[in-house]
Amino acid sequence: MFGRIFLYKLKELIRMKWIIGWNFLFPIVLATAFALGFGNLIDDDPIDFHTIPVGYVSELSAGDADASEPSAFLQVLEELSDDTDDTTVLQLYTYASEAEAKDALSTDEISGYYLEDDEDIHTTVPSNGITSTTMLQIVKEYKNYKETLENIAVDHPEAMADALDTLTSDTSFLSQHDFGNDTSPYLQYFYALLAMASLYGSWISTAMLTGMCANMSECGKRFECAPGRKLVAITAGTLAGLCIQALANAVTVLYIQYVLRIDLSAPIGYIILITTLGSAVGISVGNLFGSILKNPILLTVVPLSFAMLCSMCSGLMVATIRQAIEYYAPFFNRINPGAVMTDALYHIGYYGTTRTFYIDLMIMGIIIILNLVISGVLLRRRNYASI
Amino acid sequence: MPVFKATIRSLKTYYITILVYFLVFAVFGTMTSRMNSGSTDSLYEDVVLDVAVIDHDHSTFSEALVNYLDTTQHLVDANTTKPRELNDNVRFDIYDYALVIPEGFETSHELEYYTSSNSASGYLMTEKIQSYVQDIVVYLNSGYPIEEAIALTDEQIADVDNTSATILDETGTHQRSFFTGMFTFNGYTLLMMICISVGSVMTYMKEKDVNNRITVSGMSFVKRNIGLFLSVLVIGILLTSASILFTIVTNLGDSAIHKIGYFSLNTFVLMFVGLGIAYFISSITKNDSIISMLSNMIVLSMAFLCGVFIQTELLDDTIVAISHFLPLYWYVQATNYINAHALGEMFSTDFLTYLAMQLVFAAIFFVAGLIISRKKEQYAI
Repeated sequence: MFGRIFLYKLKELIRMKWIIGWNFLFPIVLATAFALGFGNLIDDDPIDFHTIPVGYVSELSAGDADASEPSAFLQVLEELSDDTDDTTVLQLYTYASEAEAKDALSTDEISGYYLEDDEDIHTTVPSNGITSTTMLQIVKEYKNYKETLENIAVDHPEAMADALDTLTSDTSFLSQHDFGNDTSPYLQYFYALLAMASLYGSWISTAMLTGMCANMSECGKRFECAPGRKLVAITAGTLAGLCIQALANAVTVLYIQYVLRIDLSAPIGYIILITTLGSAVGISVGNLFGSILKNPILLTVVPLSFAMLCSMCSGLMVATIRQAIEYYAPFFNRINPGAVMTDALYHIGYYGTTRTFYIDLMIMGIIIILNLVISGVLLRRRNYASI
Repeated sequence: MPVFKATIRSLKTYYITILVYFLVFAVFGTMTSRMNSGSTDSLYEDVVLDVAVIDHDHSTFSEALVNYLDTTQHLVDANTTKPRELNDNVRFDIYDYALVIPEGFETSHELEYYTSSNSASGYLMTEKIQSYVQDIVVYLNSGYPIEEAIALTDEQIADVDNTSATILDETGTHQRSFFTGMFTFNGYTLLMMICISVGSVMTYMKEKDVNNRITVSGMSFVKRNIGLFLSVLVIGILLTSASILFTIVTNLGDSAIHKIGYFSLNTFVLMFVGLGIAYFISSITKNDSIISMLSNMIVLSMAFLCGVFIQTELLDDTIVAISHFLPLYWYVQATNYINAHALGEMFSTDFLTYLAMQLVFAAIFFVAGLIISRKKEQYAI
C-alpha cells in the first residue's frame, strides 16, 4: 500500500502545473535574475577599497621652494600613488590650474583634488562620503606628522631621527583577523533563495493533504472512507512531496553552480544535504498548515506568505536583514526555518563544518519532528459532523 | 453598479495577501530606506563609522584609544566577543569595524581588527587608528611620559580635525532622501499588491459560473465592463493611496516632503503598469496559484534588474541596458530624478519621458492581455 500511494502521489503532484512552476521554475528564474542583476558584484564588491583618482594643483609661490623640487605634500601623494605597493591608494593627476581640475572633477575623471598654496592645502570633493573622507584623511595625517616632528624637535631634538624613522616606516600596529576565506556577502542572496525554494515545499504538502482530507475535496472523502491506514498513506504522500521538493532544490543548486557559474563556496554534497533537509522542513510546515487550515484560499495564501516572510527575514531582498535580526533578536533567527537554513549554508560556505553548522542542522531536525508530531495529532481520528 | 460592488466585495478574499505585502512595504521598506538615506548638506562632513571596540587591556593607552574613537566615530556595542560573530557583524553592516585591544597592548602596541575583507571603510578606519597609535608610540619612544604623549596627540588630532574640504556639488544629487528609498521599494510592493489582488479579482470575475450569471442579467455589455474597469481602478487607487499615505504619515519631517506631489504622481503612473500586468496575467490563467507565481516571477525579477533592491549604478552595464525594456526601470529613474532635482526643475522632458515610458508599458501589457483573451475566446481555450 505504501509503495502504491507513494507512486500515485508522485504522479499526481508532478501533474500539477503550478507546482512545477513554483517549485522548479520560479527559483531558477529568480536565480537568473540575481545572477544578471548582481553577479558582477560577487567578484567585485562595490564597498571594496579602490584606488582613488585625485588631482593636484600647485599654487605655491616660486620663492618658497625650488621649482624643480616637488613640495613635501606632493611627495607624500606620489608615494601613495606608487603602484609597487600592495595597496595603491591614489592615482595622481597634476593640473596647471584649478579650472582644469574642476573640469576633470565635473567629468568624473577624478574623485576630488588638492590645491596647495603658501598658506594651506585645500581639498575639493564632489560630495560627502568615504572617498572624500579618505582624501581629507591624507591631508590630516600629513599635518599631524608635521606637528609631531615639530613638537619632538623642540622637546627632544636628540630623538628626531628615530621619530622620523618610525613615522616613515611601514610598521603597522593593526592586523586583520583572517578566516582564510573570502566568500562574497552577495552569496547570501542565493542562500536565501535556496531557503525560499525549500519552504515552497509547504504547498506541495497542503496540495497533498487536500486530496486526503474529507472536508477538503471529493477525493478526500473517498480516501477517508477507504479502509486503509491513514498514517501510512500520509507518510507515503509526504515522502513523495519530499522527493519532488528535494529534486527541485537539487536542480536549482546545480543550475546556480554550473549554468550560472556562481560558486556557492561549499562542497556540493553538503549543499544538497542542507537543501534536502530544508525541503523536509518545508514539507513538514505544509503538513502543519494542511492540518490546521480548512479554507482552500488560505491553503495557498498562508504557505506563500509564510515562505516569503521567512525568506525576506533571511536576506532574500536585503542581505543584511538576517544579521540585523541576529544582533537585535537572535531568538527569531533560531525559529525562522529560512534563517536557520541560510545560516547553515553561509557557515558551510564561509567557515566550514563548525559547531554552529551542526546546531543549525539540529534545529532543522527539531522543526521537522515538531511539525510532523503536531500535524499527526491534529489529523488522527478526525470526525466530521457535517461535510 | 452590481458588477462594481461584486468586484470590490471579492477583494475581501485576498486581504491576507494584501496585508502581507503591505507589512513587507512598511517594515522592509522603512529599514532599507533608513539604511540608504543620507543628508543633502552642502557642508563637508567626515564620514562617521560604526565601530565596536573590545578592550581587554584597560590600560591608560587603550582607554585613550577608546576615548579617541568615541569622540571621532560612533561607538556601538559589539554584543559578542566571538571572532566569527564579530566577523559576521562587520560583513553584514551591523557595524563597519570591530577593534580588539588585546591584553598587554600598552607594551606590545598590537591591535586586531575585523572589517569586511577589503572595504574602503575598513581602510579608512585602519588609517585613522594607525595614525593615532603611531603618534603616541613616537612620542613614547622620544622620551615623553604616557600621559603627556596622549595629551599631545589628542591636542594635535583636535587641531588637524579643523581641516575641512569644499563640496563642489551643492545640489545633493549624490544623496538619497528617505522618501526616495521608500518610493523605490514601493515599486516592488505596490506592483505585487496590485498584480495579485487585481489579477485574482479579475480571474474570479471571469469564472464560468460568475461570468454566466453576469451575462444573463439585463445589464448591457458596456455597463458591465465599465463596472469592472471602475472597480479595478478603485482597487488600484486605494492600494496606491494607502502606500503613499503610509510613507507621508510615518516620515512627516523628511527633507523631501515638498516633492511628495511628484513622488505621488510617479507612483500613480506605476499603478497603471501594475493594472496592465495584472490584466495580462489574468488573461493567461485562471488559477490563483499561477497568478501568484507569475506575479512573483515578473515583479521580483524586475525589481532586482531595475534597481529597486540594488542601486542601478552597481548593476552591470549590459543589465542596465536590458532593463530599459522593463517598466520598473523608468519608475526608479523617475524616483531618482525627483530626488536629484529641485522643485522648479522638475517638469522637464526627462521626467515626462520617464512617466510616458511607464504608460507605454502599461498599454503594452494591457493590449497583450486583450489579444490573449480574444484568442482564448476565439479558440474557446
